[in-house]
Amino acid sequence: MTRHTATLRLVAAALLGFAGSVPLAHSATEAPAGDIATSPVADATTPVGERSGQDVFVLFCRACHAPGPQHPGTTKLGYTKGQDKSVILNRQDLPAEYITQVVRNGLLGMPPVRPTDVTDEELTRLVEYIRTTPADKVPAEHPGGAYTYPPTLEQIIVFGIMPRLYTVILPAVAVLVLLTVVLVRRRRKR
Amino acid sequence: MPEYLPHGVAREDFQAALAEIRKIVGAAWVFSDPDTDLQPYLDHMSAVAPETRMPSAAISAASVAEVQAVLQIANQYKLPLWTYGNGKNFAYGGPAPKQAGYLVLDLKRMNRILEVNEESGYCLVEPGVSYFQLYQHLQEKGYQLWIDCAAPGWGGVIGNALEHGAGYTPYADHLLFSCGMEVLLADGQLLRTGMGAMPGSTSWQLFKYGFGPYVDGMFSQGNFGIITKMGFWLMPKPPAYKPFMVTYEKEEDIGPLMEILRPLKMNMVIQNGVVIEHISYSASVQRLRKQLWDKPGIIPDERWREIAKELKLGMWNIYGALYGLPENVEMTWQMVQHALTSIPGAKVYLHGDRPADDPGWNYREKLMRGEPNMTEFNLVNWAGGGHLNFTPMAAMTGKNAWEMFNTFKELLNRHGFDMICEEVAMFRTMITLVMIMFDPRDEDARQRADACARELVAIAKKHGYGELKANLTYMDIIADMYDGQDNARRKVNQVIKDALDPNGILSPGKSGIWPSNWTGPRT
Repeated sequence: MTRHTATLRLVAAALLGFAGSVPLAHSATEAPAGDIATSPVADATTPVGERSGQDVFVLFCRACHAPGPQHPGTTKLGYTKGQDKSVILNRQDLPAEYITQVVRNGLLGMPPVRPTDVTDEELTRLVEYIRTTPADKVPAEHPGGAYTYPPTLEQIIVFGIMPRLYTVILPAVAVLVLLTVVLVRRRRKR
Repeated sequence: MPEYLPHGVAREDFQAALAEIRKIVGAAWVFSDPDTDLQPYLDHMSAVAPETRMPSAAISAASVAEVQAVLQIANQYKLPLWTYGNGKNFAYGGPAPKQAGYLVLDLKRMNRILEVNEESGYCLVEPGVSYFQLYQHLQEKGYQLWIDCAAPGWGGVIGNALEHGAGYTPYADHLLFSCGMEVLLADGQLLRTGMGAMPGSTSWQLFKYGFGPYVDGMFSQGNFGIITKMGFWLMPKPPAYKPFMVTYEKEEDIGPLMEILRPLKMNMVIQNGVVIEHISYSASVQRLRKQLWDKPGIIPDERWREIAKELKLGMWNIYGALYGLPENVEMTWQMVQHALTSIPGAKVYLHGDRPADDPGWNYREKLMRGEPNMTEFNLVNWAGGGHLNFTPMAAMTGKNAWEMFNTFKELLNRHGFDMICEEVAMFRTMITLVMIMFDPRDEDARQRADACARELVAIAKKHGYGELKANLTYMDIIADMYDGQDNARRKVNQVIKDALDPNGILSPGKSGIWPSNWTGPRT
């Protein structure tokens, strides 16, 4: 690595570190761990028993039962019940008692859901949600990941512009300027 | 329905103990009816009938103080407590206890994410926190941190690490990337490990060892204590991420591929938990068995080759990823690509090269950047939900890979099962994940699966392939694999168990560790 490249990378690292520290609008530490026997006050996790049908569906059901071949419940039901019944949403033909029974006892590839996962009261709300919610109303799974985000301005500068500044960009600008000057002089001579 | 009681405990004493426990956790959080509220505590996916592991009761504690109080009652009445947080370790027993009559101590309600520290990249969580929950939390709060998750995202962050589970980012070895535990010992004593033992320390989740013997490992995959909190390092989101897949045409390509992969892993050129799926594994994630084969018997080799072509996959398919600065990633990729494509017929796939709805690429690409999902659970649709997993390990060599594949393929095929497997490359070890898939409604299939599993353990021991996890049924025979030095390991475990848990109340029989004073059955 040349001294010049090394300097650029140091600058890049510093800029990246700066970029990384910018989004810290929220507190980095939400709650101190404390040194007591009882668990300390935690973050805003909704207590078990108080979650909505949607909360519970998103946490326990969506990953298997949302539309698409990446969801095992949907894949299996598509094969056994047909594509129109592959997604268990907006299914008023399914009795509430049946859904409750399957949730608590499981069915083949679907294991049972314990009352500590989803309480009886939450299950009632979940069943209602399943029976009445169209699939397109379920919150989308978050795409996450690095490459799915557009690059930040810092990343464009550090990784897009800086490494090419002296080898490509400035020489190209110089050549353009030179060409422009030559062309302008030629025109003036004419 | 027969009555289920803890071994050696009279009905009156059991009822008295439950009454006291109800006062501690609340009556709504004690489940004791085998016909109704204990049904979700059964495992329908193993080879034994679910009812053979019916608990006497399930207790849900919501805090360290409640667990301490329950421990006091358990010691008083000699109640065996089988503890977990999420209970989703299917293939290994799921939510069921090792034996009928145990009390399940279900810590799912202890589901708080106590701390996320972006400056130093770690979190502190309780046993009930699932990968989905932690991921969702980081996304909602906008943290620039990744988690590393197991393939089924409903798993527990703590539970998976304690079972020596693996993921797919550079932080794939979950116990290795944990830092600091809070443990309740059987007598209710609270212990914080590493720097957590020092009042006022600011580095409980940063420095693993503290001072003196490093004891965290002792509380993994065992029954010496109950983990109530655990810290994990979280990977800062890298500036660049490049997932890749390379397919190989021939089954025997696994040999040279493993030779190529070893130095790449050993030198951390490829940093993440790399997976090499056999076509059986790749296909079963996206197709039901009935869609691929409608004749009796196992799927023959010729048909697997056809399936590979139909799905535009190889007989082996490696998934990996590179992370870091964009220029570094591109430079490293040139070397990795050159190495991985040196086997004739190798085809490279990068982001955008596979069909948009390809479930295989999509879920692997998510896992390698720590986004939990359930796609891999499609596997259990193969034969009605029953599955037993085995993960024998060996040195990462071409000879071992080829030998293991053929040895276990012959075994599974002989017992009437398709050989469904993948190889996982972790640092220097090669783990062969073998899945015995069966229909649990078929008694004959269950018995064959059990016989196959027992023979698999015996063969693995003969070859020196250590098993790293155990289904409830096979904990003792797997513990017996490690019988060197005149059974020294078992003896040491015994001394520790009896010293820390003299009444033998914590998960008797877990990983083959039984209390000395245990007089009950050992099934």
